[in-house]
Amino acid sequence: MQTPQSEFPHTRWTLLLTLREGSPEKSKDALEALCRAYWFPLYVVARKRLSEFDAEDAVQGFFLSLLRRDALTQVDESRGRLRTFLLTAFENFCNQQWERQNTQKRGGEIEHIQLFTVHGAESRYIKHAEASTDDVETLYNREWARTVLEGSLEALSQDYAERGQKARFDLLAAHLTQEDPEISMAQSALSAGMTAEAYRTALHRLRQQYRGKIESELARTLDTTDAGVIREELHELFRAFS
Amino acid sequence: MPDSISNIVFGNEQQLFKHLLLEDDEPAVKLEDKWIGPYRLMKLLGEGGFGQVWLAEQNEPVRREVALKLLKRGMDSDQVLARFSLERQALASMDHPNIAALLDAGSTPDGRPYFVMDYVQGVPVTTWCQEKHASIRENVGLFKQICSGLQHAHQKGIIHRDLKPSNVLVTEVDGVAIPKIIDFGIAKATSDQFQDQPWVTRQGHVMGTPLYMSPEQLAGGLDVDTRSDIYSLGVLFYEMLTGTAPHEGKTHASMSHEEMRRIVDETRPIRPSVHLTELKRQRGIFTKVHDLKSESALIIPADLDWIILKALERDRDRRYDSAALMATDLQCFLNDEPILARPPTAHYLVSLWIKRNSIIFVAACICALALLVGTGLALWQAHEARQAQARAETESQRARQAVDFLTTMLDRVADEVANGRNPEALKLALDGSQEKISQLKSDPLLQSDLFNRIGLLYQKMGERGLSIPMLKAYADAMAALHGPDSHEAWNAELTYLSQMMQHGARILVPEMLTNLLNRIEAAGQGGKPHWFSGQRLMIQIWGKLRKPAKASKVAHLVIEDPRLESVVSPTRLLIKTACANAFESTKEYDLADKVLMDCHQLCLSDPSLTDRLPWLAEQRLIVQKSKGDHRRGAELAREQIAILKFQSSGKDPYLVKLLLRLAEFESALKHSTEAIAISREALKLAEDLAPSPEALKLNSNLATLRSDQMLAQFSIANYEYKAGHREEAVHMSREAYRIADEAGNKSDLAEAMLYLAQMLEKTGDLEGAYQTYELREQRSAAGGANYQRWHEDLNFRCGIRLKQGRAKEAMILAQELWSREIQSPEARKDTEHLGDVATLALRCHAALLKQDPKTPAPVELLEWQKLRNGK
Repeated sequence: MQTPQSEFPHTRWTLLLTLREGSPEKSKDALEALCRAYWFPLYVVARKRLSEFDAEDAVQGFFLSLLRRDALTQVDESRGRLRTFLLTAFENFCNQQWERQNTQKRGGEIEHIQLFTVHGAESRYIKHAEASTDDVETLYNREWARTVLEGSLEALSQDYAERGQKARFDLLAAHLTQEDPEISMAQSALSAGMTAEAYRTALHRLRQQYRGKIESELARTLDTTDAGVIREELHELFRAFS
Repeated sequence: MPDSISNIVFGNEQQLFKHLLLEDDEPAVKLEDKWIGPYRLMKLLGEGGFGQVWLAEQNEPVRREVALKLLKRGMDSDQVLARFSLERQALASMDHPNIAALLDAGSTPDGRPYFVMDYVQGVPVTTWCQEKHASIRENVGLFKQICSGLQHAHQKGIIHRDLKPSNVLVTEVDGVAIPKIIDFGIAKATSDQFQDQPWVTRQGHVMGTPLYMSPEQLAGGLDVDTRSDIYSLGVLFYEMLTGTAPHEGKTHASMSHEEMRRIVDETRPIRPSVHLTELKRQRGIFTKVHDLKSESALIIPADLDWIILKALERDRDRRYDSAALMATDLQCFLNDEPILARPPTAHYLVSLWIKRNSIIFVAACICALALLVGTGLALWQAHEARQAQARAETESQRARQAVDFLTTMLDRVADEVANGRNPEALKLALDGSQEKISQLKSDPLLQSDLFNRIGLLYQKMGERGLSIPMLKAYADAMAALHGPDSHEAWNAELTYLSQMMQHGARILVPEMLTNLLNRIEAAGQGGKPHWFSGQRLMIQIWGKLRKPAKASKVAHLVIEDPRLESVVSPTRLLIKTACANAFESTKEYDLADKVLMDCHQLCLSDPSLTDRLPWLAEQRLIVQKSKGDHRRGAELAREQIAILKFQSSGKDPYLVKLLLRLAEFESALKHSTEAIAISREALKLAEDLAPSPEALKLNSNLATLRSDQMLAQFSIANYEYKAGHREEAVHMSREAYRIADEAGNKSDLAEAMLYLAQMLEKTGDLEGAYQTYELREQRSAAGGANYQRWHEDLNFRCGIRLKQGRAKEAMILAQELWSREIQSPEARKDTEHLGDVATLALRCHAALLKQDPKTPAPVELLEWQKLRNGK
């Protein structure tokens, strides 16, 4: 695990560019960062069509193809959304793979390099997406949104842990998701030795920080600080769940 | 991902997002029809990071529509309102047709601050200009109104602090466009908020884009005055005319203040007219579809360039003192009267100079200014001054003063140029100066001196095409002044010929030089310093014309002439080294080395020349290298390095060069490990001695060390490549590019990019190389008007496409190269060069034929074949 500071070291687009142009070492780091953010969302897409192992191979193969720069020739400054770009590139990749295998029936040539291990991908898939009948794009967006939510929360938790406030984070985080946390909050405040008012303020601050982390991450993937655009993105991710 | 985190998120995503979205804004629905104080919210007009803007209705005391700006939750409303109340009275006293009045402020029951102002139904001013395809006069007219509004506010003691297109709205009343500045007082009231928030939020929500901020605002200083708004006005006007803000191309969205500040500190904005032309060209290239309507037909006159550049001065003392002054200058522009702003550098220096010197020199000063300003007014003033001055001072004295003044000014400008900074403003100042100087007939001494100085200045700026006629004019002037066979005239002619040799039609030089030498001999000065200097030039020109035998012949004549020993040592040193070069080129290595040894002795005997010793040592190494005696070369290099290390305790910058030479020999001896180690030592030394980017700006001499550092990196890259370490070679080349980019010297940068591209090409990354060449072309073209490397870049790009087998694209590039070459008068004269281009084009054609035998022959085919055969 990297330190929280390096969790999102570049804008995601610059990662792609690094992948294309950087030294092997930097390329590898860049690839790993991309994998971290997109492996599972892409796995969900693949898994809807393929078996467990084929899906894993497809995602692995796709990231390897990024390293070989095949897919990166179209990357340019005209941007668009990285999330969309990767989904399209991945679907193209799968189609080509499928064609190749069907027409030539050549097996056993795919190099197998373990780049990024995703533990429990399949169980995660079963939990998150197996039962869903939504289209793959929605599933993909949803999964990506989850990755952002989780990654940002994880980074925040590390911030707290670094300040020696891990317990406090755990306590507060439990209330992040509650619509009306008043009742249980009083209890928690009591157990934390805080007044209800102070507890509410602390929770408010945690929310703000959480939002800050998420916005920073979105700002990086979108490469903009335009609050309007970021808000729009938040809305869109929100829609993926409704 | 720890399960605890996943568990919080999973199943609660909707909830989390809802909270996040709720955090600062109520959903719009909730607020509609709500009352805030005496205002009823009617329609959401827009929202952004700061909060929301509503159209609201006020009933008491009058019924009217207002705009209500509701700030986001989380702002400390007490603090905001406290600040606001300080300015409230001043704000209330503003009453101007170009300002939307701020009517009221308060806070909602749940503690969100709000501001109420005149409702302006309009579009941002830049949008208006683009949509209306406003003419220059319309633009200026509109902008003058903005100035007038701002001036009003400034007079009331209000600084806006956040001027940008979205804060200047244009409404049309009866078909007349009226700009209105909104949001006065808000930036100040809300500053210092969100200090503890993540940067993104702070940036996006409160301060807006740093593009429009003055350097002092970016620096975060508290001392921000009205002139900060003037800067923002400059940016705004720039954008109105060109469609983009000055530094927009260099910025990216998630840019911090610090980065923006660095950009503003280190680069000068390109003048709007040049910028616009470039934009048009780019659009032309990228779209290829010419939509005449959307294509801006604007041509920005030079005076507007000056006005904008003055508003954009980094030093606020050099900006317009007030918005009114800027408006006045714009009116002058509309009336075709001379403007104040032109040109900033000269104007600034003149005022400084006047401050420092007594009044008696003012006439000289104005005279010099007239040269650069060239307006009728200034010339008239110069004339007046001349008349007045004539009574008290002699002409020559006055002229000397003017020259002194210009010397100071031009030397300072030259420093700027040598440091590789964008000389746009200077170039503009010098435009047409030859004509203006020619008019100074009554003052021939001053006239000739100016020709010389400006000629040399152009040379420094890399404007060779402009430099040569200047130096020619200088030589003519000197001949007229002192007689064609005076020492002064000879000196001037030698300077001119030497420049011709470097960058002009060098084929003409031998004849002109022979003529000069004959005249010198006829005057009985054969064997005197001028004659020797002429011979030296002769040796050099034959070398340049690739006629080593002729060069060597002259060199023999010179070196065996006993009269040479009576020439003063510095000149003698130059002459002898030129001879040594000539002997080297005819493979008379031992003689060359002997002459250089003589030079060595000469330098030892003259204390003023001892600093040439390391340079001489390097020359000797070069001879050994040409001779191919690498062993002796390495030996000699080690010896010289040891001496220099001893003398300078290892700190002489020249050590870097000598070490690199040594590495070269070691590499030739196939000691690649040593070669790498030695060049790394050179790099280390260069890094230790090389100054920081900041120090570079202060002293131009230090810049060469940066270049050395780059050279060391090139060498390492080269040896690593030879040793088969390709990754390392590419890495080093990239590093050199980075260093060059950081140091900001344009020619080094071009060099480094070329090197990187070649390295990528060698290591097989053809596409990477292609893109590097392309980037180099773009960056060089953006760097200034004197971009001369298009030929190289196009040539290389074409070559790569050929290698890649993309013959069609290669052909397009070759044809572009060809058509640009034949447009250039110099290139047309140089058939050898054109022959190279033709050969390249023919290779492309051959490649195309191979792919498809039916490819039609291009129209230029015959011409190409003729040129190739003629070669």
